[in-house]
Amino acid sequence: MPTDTELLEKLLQSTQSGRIDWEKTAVDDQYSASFGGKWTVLIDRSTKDRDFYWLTLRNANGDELLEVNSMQDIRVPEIFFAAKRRALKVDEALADVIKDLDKPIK
Amino acid sequence: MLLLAGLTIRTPYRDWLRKFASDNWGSIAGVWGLEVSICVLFVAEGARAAAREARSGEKAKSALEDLKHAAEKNTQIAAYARSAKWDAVRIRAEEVMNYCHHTVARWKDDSAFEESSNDLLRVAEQMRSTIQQADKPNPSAKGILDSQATSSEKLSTVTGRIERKQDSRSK
Repeated sequence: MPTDTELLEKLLQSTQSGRIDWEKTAVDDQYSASFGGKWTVLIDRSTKDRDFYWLTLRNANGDELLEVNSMQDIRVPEIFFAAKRRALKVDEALADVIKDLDKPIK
Repeated sequence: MLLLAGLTIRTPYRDWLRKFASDNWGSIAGVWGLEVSICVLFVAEGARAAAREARSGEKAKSALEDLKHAAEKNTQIAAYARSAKWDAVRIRAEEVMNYCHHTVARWKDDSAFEESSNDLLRVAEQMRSTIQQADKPNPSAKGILDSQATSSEKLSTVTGRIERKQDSRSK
């Protein structure tokens, strides 16, 4: 029987390896991703308590299947930061910054 | 067929073939039956593939209609957000979200639409967050406009993808 922990571990690995395409939403500090043509994952950071994060899994109809927060599993904040990095294309930006810094001064 | 020709056309082997046919009529009928079954199977498979193709075409056609409506409503979100009409933003976002879920449900279990389903689910999630933002005491127009632009791009991508699929099907 698959567990919530397995799902979170898989999500973290897939995010870090770039297999999940996260994007920012209309709400600050909230990122979403869809895959398999039927699943949506949303990761959120609380605006009041900045150390509180939660992850929601929805099916194709938009029904909420699962909600896990950072108090229940420490992987949730890790997924949040990995998702944010992907959504904001931080790695690409860093590569650009480094390239620019390597250019000779005019 | 060869046997039938051998039996009717005058050849040195006709008598032998006649004897062979009368001794083995059961086996010959069996082989003939098998051939007929194989032909029927091929025709049925062709008909099934044609039906699948027709269903897929029908799904794409109705999806295009829904996507057109969704794109129109999504454009209105930007106009309402600029004039701070948050109730209207919420209503339109809900409509776009419903169009997306409806289309994805129609494509359910059809792997040909997986990529487009993912894009529409992303739009649905953008709309959910737009509703969330519009419900705030001081909604951020920027957040909503960014999300609207992302959704607009995705709706166009999906529409283009389906139109291309339809074009290649009609050629």
